Amino acid sequence: MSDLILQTKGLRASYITHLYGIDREVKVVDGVDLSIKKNEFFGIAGESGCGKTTLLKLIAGFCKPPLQVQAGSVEFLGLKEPMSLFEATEAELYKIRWRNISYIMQGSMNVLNPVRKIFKSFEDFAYPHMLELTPAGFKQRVIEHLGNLRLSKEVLETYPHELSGGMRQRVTIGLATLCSPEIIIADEPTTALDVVVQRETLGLIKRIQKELANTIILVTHDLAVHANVSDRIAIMYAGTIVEEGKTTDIFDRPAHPYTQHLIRSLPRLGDKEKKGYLKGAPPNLADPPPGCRFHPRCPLAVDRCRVEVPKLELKKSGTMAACFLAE
Amino acid sequence: MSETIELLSVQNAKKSFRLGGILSNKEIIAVNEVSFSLFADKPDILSIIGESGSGKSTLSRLILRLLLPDSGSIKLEGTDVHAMKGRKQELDYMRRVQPIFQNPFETFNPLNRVDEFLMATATNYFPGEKPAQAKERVEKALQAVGLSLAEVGERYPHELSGGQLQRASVARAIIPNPKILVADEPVSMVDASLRMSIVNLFQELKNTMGTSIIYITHDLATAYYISDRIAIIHKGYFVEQGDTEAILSKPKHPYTKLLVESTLDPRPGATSLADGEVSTGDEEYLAVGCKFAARCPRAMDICRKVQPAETIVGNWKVRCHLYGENNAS
Repeated sequence: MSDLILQTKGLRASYITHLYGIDREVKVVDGVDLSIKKNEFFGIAGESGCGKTTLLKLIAGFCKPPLQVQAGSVEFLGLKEPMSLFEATEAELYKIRWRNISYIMQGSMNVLNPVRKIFKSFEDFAYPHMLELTPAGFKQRVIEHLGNLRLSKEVLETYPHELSGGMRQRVTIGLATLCSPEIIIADEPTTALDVVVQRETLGLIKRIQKELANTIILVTHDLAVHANVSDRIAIMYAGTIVEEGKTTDIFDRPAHPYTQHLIRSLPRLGDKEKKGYLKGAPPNLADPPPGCRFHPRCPLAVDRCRVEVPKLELKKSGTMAACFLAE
Repeated sequence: MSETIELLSVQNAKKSFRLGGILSNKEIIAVNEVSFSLFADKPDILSIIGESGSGKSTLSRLILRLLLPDSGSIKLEGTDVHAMKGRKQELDYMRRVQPIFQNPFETFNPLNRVDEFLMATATNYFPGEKPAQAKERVEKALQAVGLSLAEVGERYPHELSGGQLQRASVARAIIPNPKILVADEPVSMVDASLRMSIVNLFQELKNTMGTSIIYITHDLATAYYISDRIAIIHKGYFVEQGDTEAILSKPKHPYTKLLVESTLDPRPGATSLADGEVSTGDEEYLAVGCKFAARCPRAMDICRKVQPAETIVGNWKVRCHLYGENNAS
């Protein structure tokens, strides 16, 4: 038995639309191989529009038109038998959702039904997956679970708008962790929060991961968040993973020029050094550049980068990077 | 006090909003007893730091004269905002104080071309000028932000990237040669790889054009990076203001300390992540005494009764009973 929990192989997916006779294909995820381990805090970083949320959707097995998978697979290895999420039937997926793979969503205000009390949301989301419990037992379980998240049981009888942003985000974390799933996918869980609440929420997510000893896949554009919670990170650029490795290695010895730039440009208290920035903008994924997708903005690009697509390989720095120039 | 010319002077500005329906008498004072100045001969980048709901956007609207203060005064080059009446004086104010908005995609009308929008701005502020002159002004503004008319071309907002568009919106703001730019969260919608380009741009504008910039944000790290002075706003009050370096390296007010502690350090494992009680600031606006007292680790009895006055401690102003015992009346 390996220590992997989720594996994607050569994942390639696009948004395909036919509108007024015009075919459009946006290649959002292009050849992504990820191996995510058990009991790991895995981070995915990237700018807006680089395909990180789409990748998460695929990992969770959500694939509805216009999103189409063209190649590759996602295997969930948390059950006795490995399960391929794209081949599984809707009924099989329903069984593992929430129980084995759950989701902490971005805007907590939009996740919770504004006209239902919090407990009703728990019943709507989680109870169908925990039918072995009696209604009273379920409620007891929810109260205990919220206690662990430092929320009082009065919260259950309130409506979402009565709670502060930080408390609402705690409720959605509570929803996602209630069934102790093997994988929790968190999409920008702290982006809309204030700094003080952000630190508390990250502390909470980190503690829960330790307690449940499960895997959290955290997606955020904010590298400062990754620096403080993730064990390993993958850096995405324009639908591909350009670098992957241990957080400390990535921050200390980034191999890919894009990662190097991102890390060098991070502002920090106590650091007044002039920060540079990259020229240009991320490419249009409907018509990505040939070769390495980063080459139009890369200060080091050579001819080879313009025609050949680099593979993700282990570099001297200890990280995996997709760059011809990194050693 | 040194004899310098005050460009913008805000004294005890206060703005309140009524909470609830027309029969409710609950009031929220969004901006309370705020005082600060910008000086004409010494352009400054002043960061105003606050969390959501701290009153920072209300303050920016007051400075832009989109709202008028209930009491206190806001003076631009000696003239009170209440005294300015009529279209001409309004335009005159707008020419000198310009906003930069948070979301560049909403700054521009999606149905209009960016260059047309910039041209319209130029003709609005300088009526009666020939199109060639307006074009020159637009070109100059675009050059200052590292773009050009040729680059922006005849394009619509969605055809430019977020970073380009935010630059174009800065260019729009500097067309009338303003003395003050008010930027409310200007980089929070811009991609990480382009964020620093906007932040560096503010520094350049300050150095080359002598524009003072009021940078309103929740992000201490970029504020530290660009600003000369900093003001921390909490529930309508400036709790601490002064030199950026001094305050952020040795914060005096417990709230500033909390903010500095909570700012994530982008080095692996450098920030300790607390998992304490969930803090909420919901009721703080209505609190009597110091608004931060309920969350403050060093709160005393007096804090729950009396709002502390702004006192000068060392080189900067703090509003906290821990430092102002003599002044608390």
